[in-house]
Amino acid sequence: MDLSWLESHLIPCPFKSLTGFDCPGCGFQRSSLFLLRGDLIKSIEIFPALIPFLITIVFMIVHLRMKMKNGTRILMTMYSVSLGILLVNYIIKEIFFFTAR
Amino acid sequence: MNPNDPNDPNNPWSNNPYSPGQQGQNPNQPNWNQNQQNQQNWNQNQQNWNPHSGGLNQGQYPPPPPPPNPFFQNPFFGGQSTLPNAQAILVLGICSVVFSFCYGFLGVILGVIALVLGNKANEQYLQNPGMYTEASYSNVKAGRICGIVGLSLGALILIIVIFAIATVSRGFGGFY
Repeated sequence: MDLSWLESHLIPCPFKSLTGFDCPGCGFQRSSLFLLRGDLIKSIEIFPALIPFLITIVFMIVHLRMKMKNGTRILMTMYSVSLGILLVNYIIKEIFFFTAR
Repeated sequence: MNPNDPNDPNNPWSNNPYSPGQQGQNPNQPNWNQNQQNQQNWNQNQQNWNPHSGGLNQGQYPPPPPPPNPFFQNPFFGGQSTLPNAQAILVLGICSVVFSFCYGFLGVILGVIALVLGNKANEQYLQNPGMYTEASYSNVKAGRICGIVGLSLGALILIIVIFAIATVSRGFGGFY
């Protein structure tokens, strides 16, 4: 699969270009590119919340199709876990960014 | 069989001389026939006795309330429908968080739509809780919570971006 076109057409982050540091969603596109190439470890390294969010969205589609019992509770748990991973990762990233100077 | 009605021919306590129990009999003699009639009356009075209305059933108590309509009340009866846009609210609420990081615009828009639809569906459910399925209501609740989170995250990032645009004038390129 040729991903060079996608790689050269990533959407720039206005948050980072304006403020100088990452936004919570920075790395999402690079991470999904690595995931499409099959490099799972690199993908998790750049943006660890991508795979949990993808699993959550897939589970949401399954839940809405199958009408699962307790599906909403499981979905909310997965959602909060992935959101927590995202925020913790962002805070750690920012701490490293500001202490590295 | 009303014991207070003196003209009732079946009433053994009435003064009606044409009562069948006393017809052609000496009123001073004990009468087995009358006794039998008395017993019958007593049984009938027992049948009419209502301890909850404080005396004989005279038909004066108010009629019992009509049974609840099973179509609206019984969750196992069926006839319940899903809340309108319950699935759409859930999808929009979860997508609002995922899309809230680029500029914040998309997250705010999706979050606002999810919140507005979710509040409408929530009101509709609270007005008539028996009419809609529990699963669709939990979907709506989850979608509303996700919508609130996405809206607040998107609004935060949007405010920071607007502040940065207002203070720093620099091109966007270079960072992905």
